[in-house]
Amino acid sequence: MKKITLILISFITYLSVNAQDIKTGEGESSIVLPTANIGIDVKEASLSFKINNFSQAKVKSNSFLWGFYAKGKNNEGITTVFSGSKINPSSSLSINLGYSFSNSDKISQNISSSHLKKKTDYLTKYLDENLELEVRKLANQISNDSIKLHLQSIITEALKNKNIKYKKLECALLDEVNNNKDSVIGNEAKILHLFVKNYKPWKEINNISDEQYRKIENAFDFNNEVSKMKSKGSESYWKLTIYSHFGLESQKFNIFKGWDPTNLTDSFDKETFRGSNGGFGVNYLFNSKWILGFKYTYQETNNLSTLSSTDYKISTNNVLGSSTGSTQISKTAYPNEYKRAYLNRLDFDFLKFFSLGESSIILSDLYFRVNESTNNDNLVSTKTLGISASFFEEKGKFIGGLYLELPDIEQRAEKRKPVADRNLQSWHNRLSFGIYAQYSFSSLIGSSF
Amino acid sequence: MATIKCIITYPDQFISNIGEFEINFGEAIEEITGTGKLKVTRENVNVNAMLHISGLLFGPENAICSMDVFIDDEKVNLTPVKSRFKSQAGVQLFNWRL
Repeated sequence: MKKITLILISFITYLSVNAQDIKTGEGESSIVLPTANIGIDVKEASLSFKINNFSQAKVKSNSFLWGFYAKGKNNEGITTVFSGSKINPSSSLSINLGYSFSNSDKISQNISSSHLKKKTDYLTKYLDENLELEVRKLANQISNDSIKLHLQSIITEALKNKNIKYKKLECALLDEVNNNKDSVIGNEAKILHLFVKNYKPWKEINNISDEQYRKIENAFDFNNEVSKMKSKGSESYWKLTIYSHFGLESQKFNIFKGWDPTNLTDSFDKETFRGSNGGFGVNYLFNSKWILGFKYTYQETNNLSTLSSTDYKISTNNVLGSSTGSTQISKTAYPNEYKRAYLNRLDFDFLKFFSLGESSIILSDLYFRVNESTNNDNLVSTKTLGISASFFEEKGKFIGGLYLELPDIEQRAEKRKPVADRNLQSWHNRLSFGIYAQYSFSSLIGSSF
Repeated sequence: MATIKCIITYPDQFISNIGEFEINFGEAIEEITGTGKLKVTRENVNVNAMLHISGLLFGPENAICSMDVFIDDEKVNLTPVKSRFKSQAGVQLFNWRL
């Protein structure tokens, strides 16, 4: 009975450290990204903890990756907690282990210039030993004592600097020239300035610096001749991540067997489900703009998500003389149709970074989820297609997002119902979209991992 | 001789790799000090004549990264140095000199 529906603003309140979750509708992304967060999802009544080493692994072009994810939730959502029904807990743990490869080192080598270091070091040493001596010698030849003293003091002042002192000397002498045009002092300063400016090692260092600066700028312009000639690093960036994942899942819930006439409280069975899942995934990032993601999962699960729970109340009255006392027991239980199921899950993602204006980035994700059940009587296979957009400001702070989704594309769940109960609808009537937002309280946790 | 230190801030979500940094044409040491914080250092650098810093971060357009440069703990850049996106390679480039 779905129409184009504004699901609701899914208030996902996160206590996070630069949380990095791109939400793809109600699904799970196959793309793994840096994360370290503690999350409270009010809608799902869940608490989660996620951490991985992706942030630290970035300093190496090829690196080992790990991640850990734990989640605990109340099956019935936050509302059942407030209604006084028993909490039906479930929890899951999962780990990711992987390795990533990239050509970042190769591209970095394009700006590598260690061969120039020796030459620059030699020239700098020569400069340190001789320029000051030579320029002072030249200044001493000035016949006017007051001008000589003045220019010597300028030289002393400039060279006492801790850094780039020769550039400061050159600038100070040039200022003196400009401030004393057509005067004796200006002419004397001009001689000294030209001497410093054209001093061979100093000139060479400046040239090396200029040349290196231009070379680095041009290295990433593929149309540039310099870049064409040295093709070593003139290529687009890519990163390939391969990972495996393993997880465990546990759920506790009640099953309603039907009213037991001998003892009403025996009408319920406590059920515990333990499942596991495992698989592998591949992410391919290229040109810093696109990420292709694929994940395969074999999952041992159940059909609980397709069943509706009911709140039951059992009241007992005790009459003693003229007094009446009553007790009431509340139970939330699922119908006796609970079944274990096995899924082959395939998750596909195609993510692109878009620039929005000068200060925002959108991560757009086109996703396709396939849940292929090994037994459709226990759990129906589904396929879901959707697109999501997550908005970030330039410093990486998540602002919010929205998604548009077509769940169960082939309407297999409906088709398995008796003909009289079926409610098949056209695709556009089943489209759903949602908005999600996130709030960060990064001060609660230190930011170093 | 001086110790050169660069403190770089970047959006951790978008930067997928840290490339190599050079200070005065010599290899520097990169160290991640926190989420979105990178420290680049090189010791015993002769800065009498020049200071040139270059390096790469791999991330998309608009993922602006900024850098402050210190010579012996004294900040020498007046305003934060911003990276520039080189679209064909898909990199954020720092190429700055004093």
